[in-house]
Amino acid sequence: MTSNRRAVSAILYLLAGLWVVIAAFPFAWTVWGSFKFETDFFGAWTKNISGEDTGREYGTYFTADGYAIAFSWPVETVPTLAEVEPFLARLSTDQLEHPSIAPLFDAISNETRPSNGELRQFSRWLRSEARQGPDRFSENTMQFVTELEEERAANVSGKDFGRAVINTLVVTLSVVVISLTFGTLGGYALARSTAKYAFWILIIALVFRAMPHITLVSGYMEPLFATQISEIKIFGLTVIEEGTLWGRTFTAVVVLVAINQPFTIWMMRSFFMNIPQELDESALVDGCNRLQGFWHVIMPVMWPGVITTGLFSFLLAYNDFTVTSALLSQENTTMIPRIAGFLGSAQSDGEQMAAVAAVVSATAPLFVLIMVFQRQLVSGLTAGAVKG
Amino acid sequence: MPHRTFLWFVLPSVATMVLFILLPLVNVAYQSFFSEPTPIQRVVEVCSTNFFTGEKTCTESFTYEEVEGPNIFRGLDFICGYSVLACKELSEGAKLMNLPFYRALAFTLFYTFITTPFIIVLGLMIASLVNNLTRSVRGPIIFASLLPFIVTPLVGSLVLFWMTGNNGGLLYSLVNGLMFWTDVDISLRASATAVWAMLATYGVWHVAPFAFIVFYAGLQTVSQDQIEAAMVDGASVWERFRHVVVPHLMPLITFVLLIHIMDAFRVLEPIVSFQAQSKAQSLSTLIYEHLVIQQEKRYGTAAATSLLTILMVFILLLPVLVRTWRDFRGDGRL
Repeated sequence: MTSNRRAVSAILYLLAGLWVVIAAFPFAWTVWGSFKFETDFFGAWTKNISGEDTGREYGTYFTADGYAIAFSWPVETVPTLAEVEPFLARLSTDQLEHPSIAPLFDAISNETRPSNGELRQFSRWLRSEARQGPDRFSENTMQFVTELEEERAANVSGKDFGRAVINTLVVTLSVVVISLTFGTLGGYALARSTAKYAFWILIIALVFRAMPHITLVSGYMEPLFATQISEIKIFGLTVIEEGTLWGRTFTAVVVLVAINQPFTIWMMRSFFMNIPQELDESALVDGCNRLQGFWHVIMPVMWPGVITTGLFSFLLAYNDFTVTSALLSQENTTMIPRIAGFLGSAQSDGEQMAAVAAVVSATAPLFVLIMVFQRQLVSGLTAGAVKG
Repeated sequence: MPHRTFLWFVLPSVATMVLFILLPLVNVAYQSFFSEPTPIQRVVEVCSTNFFTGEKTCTESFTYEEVEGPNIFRGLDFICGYSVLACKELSEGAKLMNLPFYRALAFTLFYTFITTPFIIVLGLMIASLVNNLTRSVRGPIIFASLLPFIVTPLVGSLVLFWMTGNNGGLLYSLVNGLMFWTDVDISLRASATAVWAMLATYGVWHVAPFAFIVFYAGLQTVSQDQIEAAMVDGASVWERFRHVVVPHLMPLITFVLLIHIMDAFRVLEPIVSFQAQSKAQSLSTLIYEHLVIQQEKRYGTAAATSLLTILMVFILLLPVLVRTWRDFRGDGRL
């Protein structure tokens, strides 16, 4: 009996382990692969593990080039064989046996084409040597090293993903603050009212919640393109530029807040329902008006609900693709439509790895969010469900 | 709560919903029937005489003259147009599945209804599984499960898509390894069938964690007395699950169904990530194409498609709405 039970329990743990792998492994795989050369990550799975092409291309088994291209950081360039050869000729036999140089030297003496990785390793070695003291090399070498360093500083083709990160930050934070303010007030009133119209507001909100976002966007596009607004200046500083309403950050924020409202008021309402009505009645008896009672008596016990609802508002804005990709101009665009933009572009110059790096960068904040707020997320997911 | 106070409290929320959901919906309905006056097409003949031969050549070119004026009523032009209901093509005997709207509708319904049972069953299985494990391992399992559900759909589907590469990608190799008895090379990207299956797989992977977490929370409140009573009566594990646990979880199952059907019906991101528009279109991607991808925005067609989509969502939701309304009439509270 006991051995039977133990076997059952072992199977249960095995199945649970299998589920964890199915759920989480694809993310681990992508994070690992984002530090590889593209033919490793997009090639056979064994290559993503071994990183053989990454070695050939970079001389190391990991590279952050994908991130460098995505965020427009300086990218290390590969010196040509012609650039490198004169220096190789000048090195002593001792130096030629150094592990960073030997592969390159062997390749040249066997008259085979050295790999990019071997060339990179050599230039890295040269730079690290030069940093130790100028007296070790001639003027010529020093100049080559400076040139290499300068080339490093020049961007190859940055994707400027950092800008999208900042845009996302602005959009999501604005959406969270505004939706919570509106949603808390509305949710409170809906929880406390027994009137028929309160019920109808909730039912209509439920119908709105079901509308595919793209159908709403098709209602926005034409009016937004058609509406011209004039320039607004405060102290000579252009606050709002002239043009159509389309493409602006605040347009996307307002639309996301609106799309968020049905869900927010439903959720806030279910949290307010759990707070006994006697609490606000006692506040009213003590001479507060509704707003004062709401602020001084109800809100202090509502923070868990506000945080949970805020998390879901955050996720809606952060994860949105439909609204942001349709309504934001190229320069105001957020991370998710930007990543989608990477996919369509020509697949060259490590652009694919920039997309992978961008994907990992967009996932990282969510990872941290789940770690910190796991309890609130679970309670939020089940809060709506408890009522059925 | 006095009516006036109520009004002030709900005003910001209701105003945003009216302005940015209700009015756009009205506009969608309007745009399905009305559009700007069609630009007048003029043929311009440009002639030139060759200086040496004296030969005169003329080329015709078209110019479009924008017409100012009120929008024109288009009747069923948009709704019956080729990209939407395709009334004319259908009456001429075109095959239903060759028309974009019906193909998109078929995929959307397929995606919604094929993923649903898998999500419910998988969610129930994982929830009862985790409920039988030591408390200390449950936290990490829930953490891992939250990942596919919380991570941005576009990103999550990309992560899966990148594993399906035909040149030895992990999922591709796994599927071909599991189907070792056939010599056929199963590409996960080439055929429409494979792409549909992959998209559905993504859908299940993405939403099953949600079902799991909701059901797991429900399992915590199952009455132990009932379980023990069933055990005394000699009920097997399966019978206890079937007759005690599932009825207890029934309201939660309805809840997950409702949320999932709403979300599945608007499926868009995985198709963009999988770059599968040529093999799978959903109603949302169809509208997205008319509105965002096309240089010349097809507002009328997009609006007509949106209108039909909204009607269908409403029909799908109707049973739930009717039930909620009955509950409300029963005890006056939701």
